[in-house]
Amino acid sequence: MIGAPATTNSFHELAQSEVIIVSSVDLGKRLPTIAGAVIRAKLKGAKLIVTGTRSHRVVKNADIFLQNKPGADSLLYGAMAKVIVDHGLMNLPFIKKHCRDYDKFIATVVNYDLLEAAEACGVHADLIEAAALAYARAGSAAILYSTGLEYGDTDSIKAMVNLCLLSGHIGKEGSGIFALTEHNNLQGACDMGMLPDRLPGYGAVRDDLIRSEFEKQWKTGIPSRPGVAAKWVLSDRGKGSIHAVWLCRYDPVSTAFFGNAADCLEQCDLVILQHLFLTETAKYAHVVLPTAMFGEEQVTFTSGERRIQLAKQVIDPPSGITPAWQQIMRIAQDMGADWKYDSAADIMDEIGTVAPFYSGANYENLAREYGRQWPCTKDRPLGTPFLFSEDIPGHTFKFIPVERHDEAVVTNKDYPLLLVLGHSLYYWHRNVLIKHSETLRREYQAPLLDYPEGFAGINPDDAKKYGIHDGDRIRLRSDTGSTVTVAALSHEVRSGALFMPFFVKQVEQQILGPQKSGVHLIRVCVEKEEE
Amino acid sequence: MKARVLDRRDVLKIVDLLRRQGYEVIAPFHGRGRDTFFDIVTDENRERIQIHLPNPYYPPKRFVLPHIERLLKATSNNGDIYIEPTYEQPKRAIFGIRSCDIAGIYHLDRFYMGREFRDIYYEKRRKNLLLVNMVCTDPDEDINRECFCMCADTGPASRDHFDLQLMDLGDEFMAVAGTSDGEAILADALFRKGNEAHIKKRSAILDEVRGHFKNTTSWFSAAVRYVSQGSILDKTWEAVGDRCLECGGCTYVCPACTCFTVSDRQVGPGEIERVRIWDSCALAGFTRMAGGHNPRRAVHDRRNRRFFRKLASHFIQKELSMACVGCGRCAAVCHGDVGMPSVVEMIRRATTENDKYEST
Repeated sequence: MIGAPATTNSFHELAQSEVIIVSSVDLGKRLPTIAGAVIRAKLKGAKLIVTGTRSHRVVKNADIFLQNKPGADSLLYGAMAKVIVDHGLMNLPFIKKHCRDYDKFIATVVNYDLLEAAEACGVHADLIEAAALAYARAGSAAILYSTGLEYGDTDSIKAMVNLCLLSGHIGKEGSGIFALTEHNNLQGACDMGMLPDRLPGYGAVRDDLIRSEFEKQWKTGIPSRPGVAAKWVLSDRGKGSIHAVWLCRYDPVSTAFFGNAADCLEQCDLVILQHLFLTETAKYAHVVLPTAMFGEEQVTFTSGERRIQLAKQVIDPPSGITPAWQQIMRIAQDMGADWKYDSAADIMDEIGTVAPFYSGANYENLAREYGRQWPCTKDRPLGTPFLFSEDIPGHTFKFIPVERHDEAVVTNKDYPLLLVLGHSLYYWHRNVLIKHSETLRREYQAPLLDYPEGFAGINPDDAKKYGIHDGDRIRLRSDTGSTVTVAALSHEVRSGALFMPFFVKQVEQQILGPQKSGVHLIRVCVEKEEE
Repeated sequence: MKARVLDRRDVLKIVDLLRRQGYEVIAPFHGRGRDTFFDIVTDENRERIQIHLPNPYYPPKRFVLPHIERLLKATSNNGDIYIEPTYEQPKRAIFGIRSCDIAGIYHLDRFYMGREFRDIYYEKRRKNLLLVNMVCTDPDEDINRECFCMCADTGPASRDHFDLQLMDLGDEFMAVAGTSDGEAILADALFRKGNEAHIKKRSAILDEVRGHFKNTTSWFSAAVRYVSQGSILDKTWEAVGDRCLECGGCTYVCPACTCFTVSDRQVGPGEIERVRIWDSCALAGFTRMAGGHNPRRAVHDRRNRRFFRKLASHFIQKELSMACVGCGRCAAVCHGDVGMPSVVEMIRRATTENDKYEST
């Protein structure tokens, strides 16, 4: 592990990367600006390697496409590590100086076998080897992956980090791990401790020493028990233990992957919602606080490259609408706390005192240029374009061995295909905001009109095998449920897999059954649905 | 054309003069970093108007064709429906508009007013708009890496379609009137007669500036010929499509793109407004028919549509103006680097390769 809860480098540095690996994520649809940086780097001569089960726009520009079977990512990266070790291309000086647990890692790497992995991944061994050699031999190399929920395979992330450490591709311009955040300010929300077990600046809630620092600063006690995850709250109200919920610009009824948010919220005694619009969730709220939006308040966003950006107020909010922070402050004051902030800048100053890597990020500094990348401290007010550029403390990084699993999800005779649930371009987390833009709404409605029951992308070879034609209604069965959808034949999907963008929520629930939502890789069989 | 000169320190007095005459004056300003933008001049920001700066990405097109524009309002009252068109015709001047954008507005004029159907909303705005063109003479500030007005034959100094043109000669500026409105401004005491030396200096500066263009997009005219003949290979369009991320950025920054869509939306009880909104051929919904058929579903079909629309002689002859003015904005904003200069380059490479193949 790297020990940095963020992308290590700047996006513009991709232009300096000799090799770029894009892991699974369809950048063109999920993160088009990053896709652009990757394509432009490729045009400047970078070698582009893409992995994943589905072809997409960035793949069209790739030098090597490792179209692996669903769920086989960590095996693929493990096999690449084996190739690097077999060729003696490890960066031993770097490993010796900066890494721990190398021996434990090597002990698992020897269990991997290139040819067997190639077979299990469904990718040519030469391609895996070529990719591994290119990555290890590069003077600078970047790995990009998405932190989105549907890519939540922690083994594959560990395996990617191991590859990075093995080659020493970190701490240089254009060399590092890009843990891409798909939401605006997701990085900032995490930095501020919007994680159940973390305080602002990522200190653990359980850590007495860290907690006491905050208690001194805030002049109040802090519970030592971590909070609970949204999934736990919204699945069954934490086994019925949650009675009140405060949602800040969150619309789980429309967007949550898990549970049944509507049922949970309906059973709560109190639901408070802050949002820009009367969302679906608002129907279940007892109190709705309409909040100011981008352009109506001065506020910062922290981007996926740790860039803290100041957005200035350019128009007044509609009458009576206030920024979310003011609403929270007012309520705290009514509850007896002495929270006094005159502006968002005051809050930023306080953030600087509790999260050291924000200590230089006052509004005056951020107003210059395009913001600053953290760590932005008093000693380093211009920020940090890439992490670990100097003075890496000894043995900072840790290898985490990943056991070999030849197939994370194994198909069988009854369920011979793997269904991957994913996104499509205009289905941005079910479009709470997109609906309010005329042009985006049109783009969003078109596929819904074309495919009111959703669609499943299927490789033409597989389709032929099951006697399915483009546009046929098909039934997908898993061992937990079944659903009907429409077949969309596409060479973008690899044989043995089905791809389904989840814009029709019921489909996901039907196939998974009510208890199992949130899984994105499902064993299925497919048959033509008779009219 | 009538020409005059004025002192460098008096240039912004033209803005004051226009404001006194009741014009709402738009001028370019610096933002953060490379950012520049057009904004309404006020007493507060007047000193910050920039003479030389990178051309703003968000084009001045919106002052004649707003990004979102209300066309009419319909109200229903006890079963009666009232429809009321809404027009805007502000008396407005754009100070410091670049030559490429002058050509952009001229192209919009040809499209919206030069053919059998005259767009009344556009016409009303345009009739009251005064254009004060600034010639690009500062190679560091004015000329971006992506600029190719020389190939599109629109700059660095416009030959026509402006009301007044200003050019930096150093201590002085030369002012040229392109219309009677422009001539009326030259009557002010700010301006004096120039002499032969001024004209020589103007030519010398323009000769010098022409040498500073970094991206000459040579082959632009050949690309026009190839596109017009339909002789560009499918694989070239596919390669362009492979790099397009369907963001629509090229069309939203284009000073000469004319496409819009129309939508009705409810604004109150019993009240709707009809708006028109800039639209983009990069988006799949742009050509989707009501029945679901989409003649340009594949992304490369949508992309080649853009280049046909801009470069094919069919359109150039119909409009007597070309829908690409060489501003280079599409090249600057395109994530996949398939703006006009790169596409011309791709056409050149593929076509010369093909010609070689055909002749062997």
